[in-house]
Amino acid sequence: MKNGHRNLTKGFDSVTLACTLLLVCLGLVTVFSSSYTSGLDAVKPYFSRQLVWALLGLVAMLIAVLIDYRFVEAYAYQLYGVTLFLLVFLLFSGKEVHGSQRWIHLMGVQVQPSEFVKLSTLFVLARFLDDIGDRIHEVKFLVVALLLAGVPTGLILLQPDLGTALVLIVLLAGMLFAAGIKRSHFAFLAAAGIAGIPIFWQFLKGYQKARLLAFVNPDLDPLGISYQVIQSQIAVGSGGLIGKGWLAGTQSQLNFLPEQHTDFIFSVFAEQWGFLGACLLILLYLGLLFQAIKIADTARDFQGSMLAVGIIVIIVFQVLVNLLMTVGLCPVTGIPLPFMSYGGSNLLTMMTCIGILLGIRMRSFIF
Amino acid sequence: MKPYLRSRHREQIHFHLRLRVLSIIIACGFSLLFLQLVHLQIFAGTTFRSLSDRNRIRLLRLQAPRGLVFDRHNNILVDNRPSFTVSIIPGEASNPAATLQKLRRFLEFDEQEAQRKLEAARNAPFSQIAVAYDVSLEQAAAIEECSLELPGITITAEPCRRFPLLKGAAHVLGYLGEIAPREHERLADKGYVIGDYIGKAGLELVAEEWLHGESGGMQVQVYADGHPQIELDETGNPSVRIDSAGRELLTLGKKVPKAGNVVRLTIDADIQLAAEAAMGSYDGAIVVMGAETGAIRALVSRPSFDPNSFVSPGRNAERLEVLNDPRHPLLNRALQAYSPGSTFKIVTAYAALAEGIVSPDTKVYCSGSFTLGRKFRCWKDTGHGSLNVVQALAYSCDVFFYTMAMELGIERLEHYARLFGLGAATGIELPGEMKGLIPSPEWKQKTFKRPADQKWFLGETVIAGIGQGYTLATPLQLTCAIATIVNGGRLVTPYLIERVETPQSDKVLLERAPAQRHALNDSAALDLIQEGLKQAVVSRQPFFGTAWRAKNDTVSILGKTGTAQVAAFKERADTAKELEQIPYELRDHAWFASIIDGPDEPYAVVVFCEHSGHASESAVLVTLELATRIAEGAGTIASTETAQEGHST
Repeated sequence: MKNGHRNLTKGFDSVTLACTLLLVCLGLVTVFSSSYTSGLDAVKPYFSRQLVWALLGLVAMLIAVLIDYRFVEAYAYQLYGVTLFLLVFLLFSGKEVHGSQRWIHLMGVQVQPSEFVKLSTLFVLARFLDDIGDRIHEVKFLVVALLLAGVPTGLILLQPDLGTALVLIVLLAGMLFAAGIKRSHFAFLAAAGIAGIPIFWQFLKGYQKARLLAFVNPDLDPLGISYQVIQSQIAVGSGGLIGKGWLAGTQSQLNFLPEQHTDFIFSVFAEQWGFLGACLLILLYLGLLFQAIKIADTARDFQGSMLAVGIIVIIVFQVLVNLLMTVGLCPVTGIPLPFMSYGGSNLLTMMTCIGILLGIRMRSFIF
Repeated sequence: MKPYLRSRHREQIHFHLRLRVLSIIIACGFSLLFLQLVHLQIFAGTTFRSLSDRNRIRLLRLQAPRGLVFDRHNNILVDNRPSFTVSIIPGEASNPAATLQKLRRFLEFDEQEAQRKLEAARNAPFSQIAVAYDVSLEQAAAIEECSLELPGITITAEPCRRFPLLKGAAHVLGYLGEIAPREHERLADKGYVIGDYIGKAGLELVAEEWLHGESGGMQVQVYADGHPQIELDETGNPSVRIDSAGRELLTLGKKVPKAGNVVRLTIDADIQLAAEAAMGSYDGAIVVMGAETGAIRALVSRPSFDPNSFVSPGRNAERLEVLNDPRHPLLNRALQAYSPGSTFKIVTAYAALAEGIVSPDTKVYCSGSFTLGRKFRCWKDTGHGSLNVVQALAYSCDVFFYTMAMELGIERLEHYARLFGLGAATGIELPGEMKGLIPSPEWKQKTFKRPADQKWFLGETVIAGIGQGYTLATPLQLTCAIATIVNGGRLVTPYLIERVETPQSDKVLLERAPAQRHALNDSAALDLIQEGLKQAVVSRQPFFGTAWRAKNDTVSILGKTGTAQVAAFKERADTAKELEQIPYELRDHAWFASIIDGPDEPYAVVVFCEHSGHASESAVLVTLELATRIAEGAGTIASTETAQEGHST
C-alpha cells in the first residue's frame, strides 16, 4: 500500500466511466421527458430529485474508488450482519407501498434497504468464496454459501420483493459458477431450484402471481399488467427506426404508459429515439459489461475477480429482465433499469458498483 | 485487510473460460432483445405507429351495477337506472368551441363550466370531458343521430342509483357520494377509483361492502372517428360491442363486472309509506318495529331529502340546498336523543312494582302538586285525587311518579332504565346512533367541572321519575322499551338487514336472526302496565286517558304519551298561551310510544313530533292515522306507488 496514487491513475478505466455517465445522463433526460409530457410537470418533481440522486451517486462512486476493496471485504461479515438486522427491522416497522414493506425513512428520505442488501450479499459471498478457495468442492462449504445468500433472500421475499430476491438468487448462481463449483453440484442446485419454484410461489402476493399468470395468458388481466405490457410494446414499436423525437412520445404524453418513469422508462426512451436510440443504449450496456468482464479477468486477486463477477451478474440480470419485460419477452417483476429508472436507492447502488469496479481495475496494476 | 495473493485456484478452475461462458450468456440475452426490437420497431413499426397515432386502443372501465335493495315483500327500495352523460373529447373535435355551440341546439348545459373544463384538460386532449349529466333518453338519441355534425361528442351510459320511494325511507337507505380522497386511499386496493360513488350514509354506507360489486373493464380497438358505446343490458351490466357509427369493435381483453349483492330489508314498504303519509307536515320521527323480533318495519325522519339528488351531478343545487338547510334534513331523528318526557313513566312504574314499593292496589293522592323543598306541580293543576298505578299511567299523573321516584332513589331508577335499554346504543345497523343519557350521581360528578354543580339533588331524582331533567332517549330506544311490555319483557336488538344474497339470489350470504335478551322478569308488573297503557286510550271515567284520541273501532292501540319540555317552565310564561303564540323552537316535543296490533305481529311504534306542543293532539293522532292506514291498506300502497314511479322514469 505504500505504492502511491500515481500507480492508481495508470489503471483508470475511462471506457467504463464514460458508458456509466452517458447512461445516467440518458436516464435523466428520459425521466425529464416522462414527467414533462404527463402534463403535470409542476407536481412531478422527478427530474430534480433524480438529478440530486445522480450527484450523490457520483460522490458514492468516488468514495468507492478511493477505498480499497480489500478494506471493505475485511468487514464484509459485519456489513452483512447490519443489513440483515435492517431487513428484520423493516419487516416490523416498514412503510407499505403498493402492498409491500420496502422503505425506511431516514432523515426525511425514503431508503430501500433491499438495494443495499445486494451490495452486502455481494461482499460477503466474494469474501467467503475467496476464503474457501478450492474447498468449494466440499459440500459443507457449498451449504454455507447457500445459507449466506438464502437468509437475505428469504427476508426479502417476506416483504415481499420478488425482483430483488431474484437478483440475489442469480447473484449466488453466477458467483458459484465463476468460483469453480463442480459441474455436478451446479446441476443439482439448478434442479433443486426448479423443484423449489412451488415453494417460492407461496411467498408471492396476489398481484405478483397475477403478473406471472398474465404473462402466460395475457387475457387474464387485460386492464392491469397485460395492459401495461401492450401499451409498452405499442410505445416501443411506434418509435420506429428513428423515433418520434424528444418530448414527442404520444404514448407517454397521453399517460397511456403506467410507471413510465420507473420500470417502463425504456419504453419512453425507445418511443422517442427509435431503433437507433435503443441500439445505442444496448451498445452502452454491452460496452460497460464487457469492460467489466475484462476487469474480472485481470483483477489483482481472486477476491477482486469475485467482486467484479458479482457486479456483472447484478447489472446484467437487471438490465436484461427489465428490457425484455418492456418488449414483452419477460414477465413484469418490478425490476428497475440500472442507471436509468427513476429511484435514488437503485441509482446509488449501481453507481457504487461501478466505483468498486473502477477501484478493482486501478489496483490490478499495483505491485 | 488481506495481502494480495496470487490465486492458484483461479487458474485451476479456468476462470478465464468461465468468464467467456458468462460473456456468451450476456450476448445471447442482448441478441434476443435486439431481435425483438427489430421486430417491434422495424417490421411492425408502422402498425404500432398507427395504433399509437390515433390511440386506437381504448381502455374502458365497466362499472359494476350496485346491488339491489328490497323490502320484506320483495318491493324494490333501491335499484339502478341507465344515466346518459354527454362528453366531449377535445382531441377528436376539430373545433371544440364550435362543437359545443352546435350542441346547444340539442340540450341546455353550463357553457362556461364546459369551457373551463376544456381549458383545464389542455394537456390531455383525449380525455373525456363531461358536459351534461343525466340527459334524457330522447336527447341522447337525438344527439346520437346527428353524431356526424358533432365531432368529438360522445355519449356514455352508466348505471345510476335510483331510490323509487324518493324522499321515503331516505334515512334508512342513506345516500351515495363521490369517493373522497381519503376514502380512496383506504379503498384503492378494493378496486375503487377516483370518481366512483360510494355509500355515505344509511344502508348505502353500512352495506357498502355487500352492495358495491366489482368493476370490470375492456380494452377495445376503436376507429379514429367513432366512440365506443357502453351499453347496459337488462340487469344493468355494462358492455361494449359497437361504436357510435354502428361498427363492430374488436375486443382485445375483457373483464366482466360483477354486480353487487342483493340486500333484503326488514322494512315493509306499505307501512313505511303509511308512516310517511301519517306524519303529515310534522318534523320528527316514527319507528315501527316488530315487538317480538326487533325487525324494523318503518323508520321515518322528518324533514327528509331525496337521495336521488345525491347521485346526479346535474342536481347539485338541490343537494346543496339539503346540506345547508338549517333544519338539518340529513339528521336521522330516530337516532337522536331527546328528553323522553312522560313516556319514561313506564320505567318508573315497572321499577316501583318490581321493587314492591307499590302493589296493584296502592293508591297515592294527587293534590296537584308534590312538595320537596319546593313545589313540583302535576300537569293537572287541580289534581287527580287518589290513583293506583294503572290510573296513574292512564292519566299520566306526575305526582304519583314523583312519589315513586323518591321512594326508589336515583340508583334504582337508573338500574331499571338500563334494563329497558335506555342509556345505551341499541346496536341497529345504522351509523350515528346516539346513546341517550340516564343520569346518576356518579355521572354528574364526572360531567360537571364546578364542585357546586357536581352534587346530586333530591329534586333531580323527583323529576327524573317523569323523564324530565337530564334524561335523554332516542325514538328507537323508546321503541325497544315499549316493546318489552307486550313481548314478555324481552329487550330486542332492532335490525334492518334481513338477508344478503348473491345477485342471482342463488346463495344466501348473510341471514339475520332476531337477537334479544330477557330483561324484565316481573310479568305481573308488565301486565299492569299494559292495562295502564290500554286505559290511557279507552278510559273516559273519571278522566279521559291522555291518549283518548287514539280510540277507534278498527284497530287496537295502547300507549303512553309524553310531552318533553324544551324550555323551562318560567321561560314559557305560566299563563296558558295558545300553541301558536309560543315561538316554534320553544314549543314542547310530543311523544307517543304505543303498541299497535298488526296483521301478523304486534308493532311497537314510537311517534315523535318535534316542537308540536301537546302529545295528545299531534303524536297520538299521527299514530291513529298510521294504525288505520296499516289496518286498511296493507299490501296495496307500496306496490302502486313504486309502480307509478317506475313508469315515469
